[in-house]
Amino acid sequence: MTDIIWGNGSKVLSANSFVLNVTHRKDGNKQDYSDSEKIIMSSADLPGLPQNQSDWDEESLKTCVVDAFLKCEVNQRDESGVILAKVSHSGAGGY
Amino acid sequence: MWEPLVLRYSQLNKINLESILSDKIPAIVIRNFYDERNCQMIAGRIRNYKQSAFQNGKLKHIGPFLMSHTTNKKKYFEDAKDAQREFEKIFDGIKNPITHICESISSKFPNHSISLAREFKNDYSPAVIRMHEKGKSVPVHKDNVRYEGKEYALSDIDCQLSCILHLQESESGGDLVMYNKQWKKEDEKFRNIDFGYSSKVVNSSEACKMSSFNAGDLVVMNPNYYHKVTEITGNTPRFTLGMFLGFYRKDYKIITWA
Repeated sequence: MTDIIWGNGSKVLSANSFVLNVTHRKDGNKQDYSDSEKIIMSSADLPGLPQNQSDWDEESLKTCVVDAFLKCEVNQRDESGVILAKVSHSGAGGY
Repeated sequence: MWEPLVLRYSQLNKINLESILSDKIPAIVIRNFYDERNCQMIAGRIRNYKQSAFQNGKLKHIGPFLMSHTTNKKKYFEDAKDAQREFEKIFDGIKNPITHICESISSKFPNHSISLAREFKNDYSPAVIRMHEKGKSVPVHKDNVRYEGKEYALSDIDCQLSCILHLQESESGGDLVMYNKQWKKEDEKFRNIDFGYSSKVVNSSEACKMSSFNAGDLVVMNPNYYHKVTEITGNTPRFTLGMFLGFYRKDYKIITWA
């Protein structure tokens, strides 16, 4: 089973990476996750972010992830501790 | 006091509605807005509605709502088309409550056009009917298409109102609670994983509780204020029809969707 963490995006580091302030962790995650994790997006399903990765840039990523509530399905953590994850919006804030 | 205005339709005017948009009041409750016998007829049809449409009981609504398709427009518009056909059946032979709401709002904004939202020849869903059964509650949330509906053309509206027509009430519970606090982006840190927000987001906010709704009552509110529905405790399910109004101020245009 894939590890999942949720939280709010904060600083954007590049066109495909950002810092996640972790607020929720799936019960049964195999790894531990700190309150702040660097995320590289392997894929994304975010309102307002182009589907094509080559169209991503820092500005559009800022608009889509800063403060936004995000779900990160973890693919792997590299040696430097950065997480590669599928990033999506999570649930809905309303009807 | 921050409390709703309760009135009859004949007392409704543009100033009342503008009072919601300008945050002076949380909501307007319009008593006997829609014929109670029609509500009973619709409720009967909803009860007999084919169960497959409710995905074996997992979903308790008829018609899609945009917020559950924030990045899947294709599916939303397909479901919206199906919903139009279902609504035609449910409202067959009686005054369509969606039309009634649109006509009533339009009459209070005579210099505005009003129409169902469309995008690339696709109609948005005109409404959603929700069934809330005993034990169900709706956590604190807001509705804000400008933020969560970024993929959709209508996310450029100037402001949004919500209309909720009560079709059938439970014997107890199902009260609407509104908090005197509007959503702002920083509040996203209070989000629940699946839906809505932790109740911490409205800690110490003034609240008003609206109860004793009757079938046929219409509630008009600014949905960017946090709100929730308390647990249904009676055996009779609560049925509501919900839709949104989006205002384009400069264009004197109102669009509707769910």
